[in-house]
Amino acid sequence: MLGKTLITLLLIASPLIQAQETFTVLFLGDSLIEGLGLETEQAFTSLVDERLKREGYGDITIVNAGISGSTSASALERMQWYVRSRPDLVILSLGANDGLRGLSVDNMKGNLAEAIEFAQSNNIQVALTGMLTPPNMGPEYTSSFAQVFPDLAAEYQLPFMPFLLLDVAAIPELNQADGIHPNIEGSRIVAEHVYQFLLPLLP
Amino acid sequence: MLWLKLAYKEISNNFRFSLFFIINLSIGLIGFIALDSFKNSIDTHLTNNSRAILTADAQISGNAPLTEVEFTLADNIFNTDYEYSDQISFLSMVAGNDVSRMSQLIAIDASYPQYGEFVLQEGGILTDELRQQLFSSNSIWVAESLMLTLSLTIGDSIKIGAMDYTITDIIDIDPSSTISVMSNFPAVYMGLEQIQATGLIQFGSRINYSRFYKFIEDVNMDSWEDEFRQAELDILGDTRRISMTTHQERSEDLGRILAYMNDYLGLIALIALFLAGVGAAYLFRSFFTSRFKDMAILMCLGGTPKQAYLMTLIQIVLLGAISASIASVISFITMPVLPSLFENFLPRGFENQMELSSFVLALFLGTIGSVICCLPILSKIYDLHPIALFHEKIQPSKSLPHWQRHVMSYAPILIVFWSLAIWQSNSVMIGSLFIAAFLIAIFILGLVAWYILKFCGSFSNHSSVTQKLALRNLSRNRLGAISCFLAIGLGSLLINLIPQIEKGLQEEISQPDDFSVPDFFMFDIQPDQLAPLETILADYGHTLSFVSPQVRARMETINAGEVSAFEETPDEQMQRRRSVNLTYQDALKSSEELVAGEMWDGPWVFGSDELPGISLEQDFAERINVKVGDTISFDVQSVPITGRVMNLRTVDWNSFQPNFFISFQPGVLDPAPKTFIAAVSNVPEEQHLSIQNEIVETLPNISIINVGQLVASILDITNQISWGIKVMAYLAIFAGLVVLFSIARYEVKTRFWEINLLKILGANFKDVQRMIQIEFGILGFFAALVGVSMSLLISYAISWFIFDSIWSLSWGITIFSIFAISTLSVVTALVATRSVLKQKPLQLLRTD
Repeated sequence: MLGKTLITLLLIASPLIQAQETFTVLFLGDSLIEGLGLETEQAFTSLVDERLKREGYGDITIVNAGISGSTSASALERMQWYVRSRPDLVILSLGANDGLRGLSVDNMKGNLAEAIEFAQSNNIQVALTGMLTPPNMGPEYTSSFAQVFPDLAAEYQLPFMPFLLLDVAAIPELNQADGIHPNIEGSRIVAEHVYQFLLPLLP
Repeated sequence: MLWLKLAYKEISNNFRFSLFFIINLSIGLIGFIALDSFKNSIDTHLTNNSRAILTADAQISGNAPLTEVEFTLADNIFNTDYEYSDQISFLSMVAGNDVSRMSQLIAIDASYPQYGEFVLQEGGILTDELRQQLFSSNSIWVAESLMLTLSLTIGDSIKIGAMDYTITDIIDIDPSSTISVMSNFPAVYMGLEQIQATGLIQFGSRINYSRFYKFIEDVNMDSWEDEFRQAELDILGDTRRISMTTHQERSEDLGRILAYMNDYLGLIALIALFLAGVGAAYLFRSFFTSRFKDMAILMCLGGTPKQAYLMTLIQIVLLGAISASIASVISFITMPVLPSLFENFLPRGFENQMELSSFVLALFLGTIGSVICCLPILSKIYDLHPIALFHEKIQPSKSLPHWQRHVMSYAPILIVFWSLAIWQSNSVMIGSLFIAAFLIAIFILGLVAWYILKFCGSFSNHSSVTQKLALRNLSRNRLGAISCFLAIGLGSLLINLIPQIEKGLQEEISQPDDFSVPDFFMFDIQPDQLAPLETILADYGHTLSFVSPQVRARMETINAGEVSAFEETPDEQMQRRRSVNLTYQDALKSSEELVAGEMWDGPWVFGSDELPGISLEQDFAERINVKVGDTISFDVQSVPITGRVMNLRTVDWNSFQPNFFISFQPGVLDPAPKTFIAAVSNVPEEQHLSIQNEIVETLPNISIINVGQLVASILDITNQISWGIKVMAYLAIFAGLVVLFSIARYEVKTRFWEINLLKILGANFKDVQRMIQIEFGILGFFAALVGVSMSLLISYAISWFIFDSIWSLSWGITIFSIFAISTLSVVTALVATRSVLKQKPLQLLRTD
């Protein structure tokens, strides 16, 4: 009986029933969003959530929709899944894995554009975070990769945060042993930047 | 000197008997040397193969330049002399003819590679001269696939970072290309000094720095990685992580199989040692017992027990040393020739090497072994009286000697064999367990023998004369018969142990029936990409196999409680993220086997009262402390979903199929965002590049990993291991039978006096033969039956302790062992009897 209620509730109605009453911000992204290697409470989305609660934004719900290893190719399908829950704002934060794997920049741009268009056509506000790829990938690739995000933001008139890992990327003390994923300290800095970026977008 | 002279005289006086003794002992020791040296050869062969894949014995690597602190860290753990080779590698876009492709840049120094062969298409096998050419100019060597993709030829130049480089050769064989995921990008080799000029190594770059080690001596590398990890944490803290890989760990599957093989070979060494030990102990003790008359004479003439013992001991040590030397010489001459005789059956490049240790051990067993094995009898000399001379058949006193003396006399055997067991198996635990099992086996065999022989006595009243005689012989000469029973029983146990373990290991190593070597693994396939991917593959005549959906989720609760079980596991990653990849499937795959609960029939019905079913991999379930019937809740991308564990399954990780720890009943996860994993098999080599390029062009996000080469190289080694395991099993049976043969032969020869007496008393040829047949039939059959049964129990225990409970009953070998050992005992005894019977009864009257 429990299962029945639970699943019915979730699959039919919406994963986020409270979305109707509160303002829901959904972070759609990869391991950087998921908080790979960190406790749930240490992921920057949790830290932002905590901060908002502390500052009195009790009716804001933060949803972490990060999947480690995911590329921009998954953007549309996942956007379609989450749109059912009618989030108010989607922070689109995919592309880092495309860059690490040297995937086609044009393709990435197309994938992200599709997802943005789908959300916008469903009257859901989208914000975008930018990403950089490590310099070893070569100057041409890194620059064309980095350019995709501001171009998309301009084209679809999206609120834009130029670099999600600002002040954190490539600093050993702020990252885990793999050198890519922020540690707790790094996560705090990302949370601070994201919080500042988010404030003007909230009701 | 006097004693030596006396001993020599004794030996030459009893020349025929001494010769017989030497032959028997030599055969046993040759079996030991063969088994031991073959074990070493297989070990070396596999080690070399596995080294070639890493190109080194061990590697440390990190994502920042390695420092002296880290080198010292490694030095302290290695604790041996070595040579090293440094390497820098990273991924980068390489452009030529207006096309760019992600490639793997590898910068090498003059010591690369330390093992394995690196071959260039033009230049051939890598030489110092070729390396110098690479280092002295802006030249690079490029993988053929990149040449084809970018339409390049030798002499063309490509742009890497800020610089142009000239292609001077194409890589033909790259030993390290098989394993890592990164190596799926085409390789570009350049000099270590030249890589800085690319300008790609700068702040934020993801660079891999490695040092490869080649050890001058063989060292035991088990547990190094853990040690290294710990030391690294202690010294460097958590912020900087470098990793250590030993050649065995390079591939996880391979490492596991190599570890099994290693333990298996250790076990073989133990078995060889104990087989030789049982044979030698039996022969020595029989010899010693047969010399009691001489000792009695010596003591009658005024000798002390000590002198009597010394004289016999010197004889035995002399005979043992001669036997060991003969065995060594014969082995030394024949062993190197053997591989050429069996060339077709041996893996490529296999060499039979003889380690000095095998010979030293043989010599040790032959000499010192004789002394310690005879100590328990020495303790009986003190009870020997000259009156023994007047007994028709001289035996040591049946009354037990003083218990302390008795225990003391057995202690050296125990200590020596215990130490040898630990040394041979390279493990205190395994060696000790083996000794314990062996002692228990001796006790049980002795007990069973006692009752069987006792029963023989009481049964004898209802039999014909010959049967009566045979049965009473066994019953009356119970101590002697028991030692023969013990020897045959232990021999049977040891013989059957290895094939029994072999069966389980073979099943573990072998692939499922529908196995086909996958050439590509594909990840990150989006649902809408499956159809276009199938179309591309269909153009080449292939289909996707093992298509598995993968849904990312976070494990939230078990039985509605916090996932606390993770907290106790050492798996830090797991503990931290609790993130898991789920899949769903209709039925079990060929690589999976149900071990508890039931598989669902059909998808979960939406709205059903039941929770959806979950299938867990057995070890994983154990790790998170979950059993059938428990419920687990997941956060599937913001949607909480609870399921009930319906079954546990084992997964054959050697199947090279996508396998998952957690699998859901269909009908639950289907609408969740997911990607697919799939494999493609049987792709001809010439299609690899065009298929890969076409997918990269049209479905760029799909990761294609060319595992064909990796799987092939793992399979190659696995097959060699499988071969080695089998050969060693047969060799163990053969060596064991040889030892049993010498025991049975010896036993009959010592009955020479009694057989002759029967002849004098008028027994005919047939009657004596029949008597021997019954006696040895009973001894052989029951000893083999008990020994083999115990081997099943012990092999099961060994599998449980060492081989992760891999065990499978091998009926064929079990029945064969019992049959072969019984038959061998009877036939050997009969053949030996014939030669005794041929002698004239007059022999009886001679002193010898």
